Amino acid sequence: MTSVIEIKKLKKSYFMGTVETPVLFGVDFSLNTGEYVALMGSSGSGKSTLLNILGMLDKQTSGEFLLDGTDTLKLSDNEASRFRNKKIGFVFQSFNLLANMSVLENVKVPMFYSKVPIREQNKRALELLDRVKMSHRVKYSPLQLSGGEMQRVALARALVMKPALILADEPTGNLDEKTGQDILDLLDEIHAGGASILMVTHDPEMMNRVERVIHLRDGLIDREELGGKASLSVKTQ
Amino acid sequence: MRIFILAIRNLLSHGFRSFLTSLGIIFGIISIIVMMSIGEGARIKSISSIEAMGIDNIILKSVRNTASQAVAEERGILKYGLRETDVKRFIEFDNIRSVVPARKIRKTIYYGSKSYNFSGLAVTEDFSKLLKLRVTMGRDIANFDNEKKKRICVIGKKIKKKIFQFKDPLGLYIRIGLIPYQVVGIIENRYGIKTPFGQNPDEMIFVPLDSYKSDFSFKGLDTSINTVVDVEYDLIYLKVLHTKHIDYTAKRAKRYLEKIHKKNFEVSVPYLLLQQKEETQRTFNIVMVAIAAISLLVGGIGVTNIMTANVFERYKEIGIRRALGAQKIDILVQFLVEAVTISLLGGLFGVLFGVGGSIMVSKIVGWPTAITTTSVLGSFIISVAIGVIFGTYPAWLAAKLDPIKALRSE
Ligand SMILES: Nc1ncnc2c1ncn2[C@@H]1O[C@H](COP(=O)(O)OP(=O)(O)OP(=O)(O)O)[C@@H](O)[C@H]1O
Ligand SMILES: [Mg+2]
Repeated sequence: MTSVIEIKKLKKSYFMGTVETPVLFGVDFSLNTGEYVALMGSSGSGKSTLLNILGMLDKQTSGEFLLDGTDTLKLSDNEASRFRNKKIGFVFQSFNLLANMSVLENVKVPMFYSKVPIREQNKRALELLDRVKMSHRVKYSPLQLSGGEMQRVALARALVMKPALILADEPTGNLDEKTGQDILDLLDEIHAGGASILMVTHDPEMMNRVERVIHLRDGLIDREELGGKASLSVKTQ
Repeated sequence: MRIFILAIRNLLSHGFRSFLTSLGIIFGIISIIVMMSIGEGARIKSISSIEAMGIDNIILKSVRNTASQAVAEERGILKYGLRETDVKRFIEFDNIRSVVPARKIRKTIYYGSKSYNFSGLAVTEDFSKLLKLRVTMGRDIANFDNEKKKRICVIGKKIKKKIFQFKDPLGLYIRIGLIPYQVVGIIENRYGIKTPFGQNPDEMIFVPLDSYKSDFSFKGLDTSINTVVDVEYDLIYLKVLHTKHIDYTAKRAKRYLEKIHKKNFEVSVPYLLLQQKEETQRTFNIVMVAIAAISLLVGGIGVTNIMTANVFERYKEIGIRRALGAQKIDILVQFLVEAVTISLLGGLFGVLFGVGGSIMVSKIVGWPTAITTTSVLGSFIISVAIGVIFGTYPAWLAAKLDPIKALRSE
């Protein structure tokens, strides 16, 4: 079985001047290709910190992190940017859409930084907006959308480069119950389409949707348990 | 292309601020365009008026000065100016194509019972070519008029109007002193060229030099100063073969005249005047460039200022773009294009207002202006350069931002 993510003895400290704040104390973890994993833990346990490192937005203080078998420490800034562009789709709690661009343009942003032919860009963006049921709002500004709609647009944007890995940091954290479920349904679909997903969540219900749950506590993996979909994925192997 | 549209949109979202930023550049470019057009207009005008004097001419002029005045007080006759002997000498010079002398008419002009104080010149047939005069009626003074000492004259169009009103003057006689001269032609000063004495040929009378010489002695009463003068020629044009050596020829003529006439003459060389004019023009240009450069510098600092503020305000956007795969260079280019767009738009408005301004200058103030493609193209190039130079620092600030820090900021 191949893994998208493989980390060994990963440590992370924040430095404020000379003051070191250790946050991750040596995390060992791997995410198999096509796996759907939830990352849980109390506030301040270092979930976001870990996810940011896995998304190559930040760098570990020490330890190893292989993404798709590549040692990420050896990547240049440009190569890291290319990885983020092609291999990773981010979904944020606060959506992070660009306010002065339309819905359609927001979805096209990642393609702007790739070599997707311009003619194909529109087609692909519209396809994805259709998939997240937002094709009736393509010309809208994000400011005119509801939270759920914004997150659906953000999902379309995360998927537009067909990434192998989706990293989601509390994607439903700012949404009500019902809207959150819609987003999670979409993520289920995306997972069914073959993407590997690592999602930070506080929602115990997520147990049923994922294959594995990782519990983080004070910067260390506390325990692991199988999720509701585990048997399914075991069967398919 | 899309990156420009993006840039323009980002600028429009801060429309008023962007406009204020580009004001410095707008004014800088306006001053470039207007000043260059004024400079160019002045240059064209002065050059064309100098060129009109003929760039292959050396103009020698007789002048009265205090020394000759003293002589006059002693003997009652004011003797000065150029002589036939000078003409003969100049013909022997190298680099001389022709020597064209002329004498002022110092007599009162009569028509019927009326008398006039028109100025006039007794000239050879080459003279009207020197001043680029055009014959509008009748004919010009010709070679045979001088050879046969014919008593004819050619008059300027304003004189025609004054003396003859609407009558056809051809064939009629006016009197110079007491001697009748027949009007054979009317000339027009098409290019507004003046004689070296500052007279307008439209208000002058021209007669054949040889006829005049045989009718009138060069000693006589100058009515304008009420003194008997002794002046053979008031003017000699030396036409040279090669303008390359005109300076040398002029110096030689001057040295010769200094020996013979002390200080009773003046030498002017349009070609050298032209060169001097271009020299002053260059100085003017340098001053102008300095002024424009200062206002453009101010404009450029404004660009740096506003773009830096933009970068600080848009940390979040930068973080999002970095997360979605933008490389440092993409961020750099984005902000640089924005800076260039501000300054280019400033340049565009500067050119528009500048062109409008210089048209207004010529309409209202009456100065001649000329807009050159160089100034317009140069303005655009300068605007782009300012955007690049002054936009690089803020763009670099944006590019070097740590992605996670940018993303976390609010
Ligand atoms: N940039 C930073 N500088 C210093 N300390 C930081 C920084 N970012 C996070 N921390 C600290 O690291 C710890 C882990 O933060 P992190 O954001 O990873 O927590 P989390 O598990 O995502 O919490 P939550 O569930 O509230 O989002 C916290 O104690 C936080 O104060
Ligand atoms: Mg968090």
